[in-house]
Amino acid sequence: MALQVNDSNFEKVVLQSDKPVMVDFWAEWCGPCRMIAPFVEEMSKDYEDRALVVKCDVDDSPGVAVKFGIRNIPTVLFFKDGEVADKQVGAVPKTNFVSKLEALLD
Amino acid sequence: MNICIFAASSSKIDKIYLDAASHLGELIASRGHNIVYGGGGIGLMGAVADAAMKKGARITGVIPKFMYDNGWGNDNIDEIIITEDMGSRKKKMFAISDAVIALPGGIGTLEELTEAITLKQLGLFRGPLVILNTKLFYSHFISFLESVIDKGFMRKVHKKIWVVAGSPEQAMEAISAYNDWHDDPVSIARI
Repeated sequence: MALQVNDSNFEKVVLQSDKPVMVDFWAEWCGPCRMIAPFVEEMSKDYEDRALVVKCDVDDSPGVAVKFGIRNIPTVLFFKDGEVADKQVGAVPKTNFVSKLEALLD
Repeated sequence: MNICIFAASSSKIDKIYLDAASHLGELIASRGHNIVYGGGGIGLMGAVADAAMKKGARITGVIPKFMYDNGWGNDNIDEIIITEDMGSRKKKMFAISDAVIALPGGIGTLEELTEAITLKQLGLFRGPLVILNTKLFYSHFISFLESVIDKGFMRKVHKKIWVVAGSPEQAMEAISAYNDWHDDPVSIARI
């Protein structure tokens, strides 16, 4: 299971990470979120040595959702050095997420 | 505590909004609070009031005369206060409430929410103001408020006026944990 982040640990886990981080913003009620969930799980394993791939439930984490302007889900944000480096909104093929994450790897 | 609820009268909405409203009503009642709301019998207004009433909360509806005369009121609640017009309805609701929670709603709800923000900015209402962001309903609105701040039309500190909750539980926690956002709001109300 991909690690779940929330308002309490987002700063430490995501913003202070020394590796690139991909965050999948999702919620139980979101149908399209379920379409990309398997990709996210696969990528959390595929990239475990080089990047962090985590999930953030917007209902549990309104502070983070507001801070990063999450208005539609799924939204996937890519962080590098504590900054948003890229973004993908909507349920798209896995290759879109892979190419955006790959672009951030050293 | 009297908790003022601003919410939709529409019922033609996703069930998730109605479920969250009912759950909030139950939580308000189970924590011993009472509800002040717009007095309607349907939509999110009806859902929150019915659920809270079933769990023993006292429910006060504040409704303009023309709406009541049209049969839009909820006659099952503990008290109905009939006001002359829309403006006096809101004035009465703020006067008898200790906290405000804005649920999703249409233009009437948005008007009530923005008045709540205005009154807090001016120090004329000092209680907690929680925006219940069920299904990210208010996210565009909150982003817009942030852009209003970024463009200098409001101060950064004014973000402290409202608290965004993702769930009814978080809304109740935000009310319990509330500290007034500023000691003297009117001193910084002008930009």
